[in-house]
Amino acid sequence: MRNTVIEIRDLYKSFGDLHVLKGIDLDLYDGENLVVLGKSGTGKSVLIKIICGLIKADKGKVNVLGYDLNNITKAELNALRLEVGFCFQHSALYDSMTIQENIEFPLKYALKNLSKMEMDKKVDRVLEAVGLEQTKKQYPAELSGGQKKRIGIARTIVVNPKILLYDEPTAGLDPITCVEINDLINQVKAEFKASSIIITHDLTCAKQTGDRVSVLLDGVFEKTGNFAEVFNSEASSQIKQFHDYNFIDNKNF
Amino acid sequence: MNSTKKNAKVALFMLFGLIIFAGGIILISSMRKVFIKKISAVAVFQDVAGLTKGNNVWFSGVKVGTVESLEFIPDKGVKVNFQIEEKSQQYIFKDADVKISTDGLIGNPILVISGGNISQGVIEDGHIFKISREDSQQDMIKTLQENNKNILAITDDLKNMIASIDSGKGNLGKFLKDETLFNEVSQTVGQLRASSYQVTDFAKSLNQFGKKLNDPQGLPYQLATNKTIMPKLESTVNSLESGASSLQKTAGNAEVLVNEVKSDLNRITSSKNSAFGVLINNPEMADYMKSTMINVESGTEKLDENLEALQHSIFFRKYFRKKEEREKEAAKAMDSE
Amino acid sequence: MLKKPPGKRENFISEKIDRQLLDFKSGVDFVILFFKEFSFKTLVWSEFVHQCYQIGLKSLGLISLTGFVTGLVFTQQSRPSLLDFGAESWLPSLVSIAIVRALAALVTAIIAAGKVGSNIGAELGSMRVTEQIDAMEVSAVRPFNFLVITRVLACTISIPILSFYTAAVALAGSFINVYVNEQTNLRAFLFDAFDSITFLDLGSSLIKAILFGFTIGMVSCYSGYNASKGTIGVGKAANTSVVRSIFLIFIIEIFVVQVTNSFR
Repeated sequence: MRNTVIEIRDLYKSFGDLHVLKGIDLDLYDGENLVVLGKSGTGKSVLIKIICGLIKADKGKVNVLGYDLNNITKAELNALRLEVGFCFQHSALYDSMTIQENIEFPLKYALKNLSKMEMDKKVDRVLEAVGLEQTKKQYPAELSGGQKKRIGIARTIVVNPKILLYDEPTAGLDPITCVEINDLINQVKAEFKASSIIITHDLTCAKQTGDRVSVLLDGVFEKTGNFAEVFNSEASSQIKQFHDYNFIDNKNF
Repeated sequence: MNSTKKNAKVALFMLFGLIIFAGGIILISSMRKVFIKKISAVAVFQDVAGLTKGNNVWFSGVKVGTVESLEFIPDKGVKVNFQIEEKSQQYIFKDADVKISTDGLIGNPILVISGGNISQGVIEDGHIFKISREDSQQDMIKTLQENNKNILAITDDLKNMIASIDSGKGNLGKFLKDETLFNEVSQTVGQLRASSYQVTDFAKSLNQFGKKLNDPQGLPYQLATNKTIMPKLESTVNSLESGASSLQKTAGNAEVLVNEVKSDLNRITSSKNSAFGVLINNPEMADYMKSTMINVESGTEKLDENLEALQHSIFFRKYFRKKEEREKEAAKAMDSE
Repeated sequence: MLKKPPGKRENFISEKIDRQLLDFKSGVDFVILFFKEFSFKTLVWSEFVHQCYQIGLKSLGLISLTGFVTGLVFTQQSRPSLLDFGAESWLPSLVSIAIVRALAALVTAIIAAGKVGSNIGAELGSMRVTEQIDAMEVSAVRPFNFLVITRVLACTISIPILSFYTAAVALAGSFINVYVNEQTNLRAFLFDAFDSITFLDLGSSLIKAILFGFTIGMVSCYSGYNASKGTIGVGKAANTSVVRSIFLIFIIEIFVVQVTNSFR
């Protein structure tokens, strides 16, 4: 039995009258990529924001790397955040800083105990990993969408997190760049041995990166399993519909 | 930008800012003489006229200290504690006194130390000054107010005087208001002028007569060659002639004068507030004018009489008769033409 | 549980006023949070210095120009009134009192509110909208410490320093005007100018400038930090920063003048 790094039980979250999450159960095992599939506005992003402590759950148990997020101190939360990396949908790079400064940021202000040389070494390593060594002195505004995503991932993995949370990693990118990002996700998994939750509505991404796939429909997980299991012929009409919109050609499964 | 360079710039910015602030503090301190040794002194005033903490203390027009605090003393007034620079101490003597004045006409209240005799020795720390009272601005204003009242009273009197002149009271008033009096004066002047013309005519005739007297054939010459009578007669005629012309001038002047006087007086009367009315409200002047008129009148009468007498004197009777005949002839010739 | 009686008002006063009250409350909470979180130990010095550079040095040119013109024009415009009393020799003291007691801090604060306030509001607003603040938070860096405390502190320190510059430059402007018109030399000018200024004036001006700086920093950071989503939110944050800062600057001015006068 593999280790569980994230354990969520019966999670509820609502914003006013809008009930987003209605009793979610989720387990993330060590070293796996879990893809959470769902339409826009179904609360996928809310789920991972709860996991990294950006949003507080209304009800339910959230256990991440042994920390109970309902009873966590500030110091513990900070420690947890160094273990959990979050890649934002729009990269969220700091506009006023160079790429180097962006990647250095968590090392400099969160880890704090590294020398300038160590930091440079780490920055070079992740930039090499994402294949953008030449952009070190550039500002985010000078980069393309795909490059920004890569730098966003680089900034996340620079602190060697145990868990990576990807929020729509391929949203807004062209298909070729999408594939590159998917490859990068897999490469990061192999190289940095991190467990990941990938939030997406892109089935290609799900298929290429996901060890397991969970489909979030109406605030609950409709089905969990590997890609083939989820999208088999017994799938519900909603899952089928979801699949059909992504792959116009049905032969794929 | 290089972070070291940025840090240096920020440090420089802060440093200069602090230097400016420190400069401000030092300048104020030097003005307030914060870092100068001082001695304290005391004075008790009935009224401090708005003196407050921080006001300056002057000695011979030089700032030597500042007011430190004020406190009330029941029944006595206000105790003013002030400080004097130690270096000025040697010039201020024990019997010097203090008063409250102002820096300029509308400036802050100041404490002024003045007087003092070297024989009394210099003041010491804690010296209690005796006070002297200076005319405050309030006093000045009070005096000004009194002056105003006096001026008001004077102008009121003037107004009344002018009013009474205007209504014909008093000599001047009568003179100005009484039409008949003015007419009389005017008439007299007219007469005076007519008389003067007559005198001129007469003098001319006399002159002609005189010339004829020079004819050695004529009796008059004979007469005139008399060395004693003739020069006298000549000088009499000359004086008569000049007397007549000056009399004529006088008459002309007198007319102008009267007219001017009239217009002036009219002006004065019409302007009731003129202080000039006071000057001419003088009975002596009116009397004097009247008597002058009388003298002029009697003068002309006497002149007429003299001329009449001259016509009848044996010396001139023939001349006048001849003159009468010549005139008749001339009139006839004129008629025949 | 009791049911709400029908027709009972949903709002405390009205929706708009309730929103304003809640906004005010969250503003007060924001200030309280600042004092709770502030500590020199956790202060991010490099960011603080960077902000001092941005807020202080980068505003220096603008502030200097404004200060110079203020001194020059104020002197020029005051002259006729004093001339009526034949008291143009009082110009240095009049101008210095006006500059030190009120103008230096006020002019600096208003210019800074416009320049620095809108800058901070827009910067933090766009950071909020593009999730950069969230990114900081998940990087285990407290964005409040990193963004808000450094900026507020930089404003609180830089604006008083800028106001000293303004005062110095304004006095220089005034001196030039007085020198050209009355041929007063610098020594006499400084003597007249500083003779009428007290430590109370200088102190109250300093306190005022510190309060102005703190207010500009706090208001701008609050507006930007709590910007709503979207580009409209960024513009609104910048606008709110300036408007509220200037409004509060005048309120503070009134209060400080009242308090200072009670010491006179």
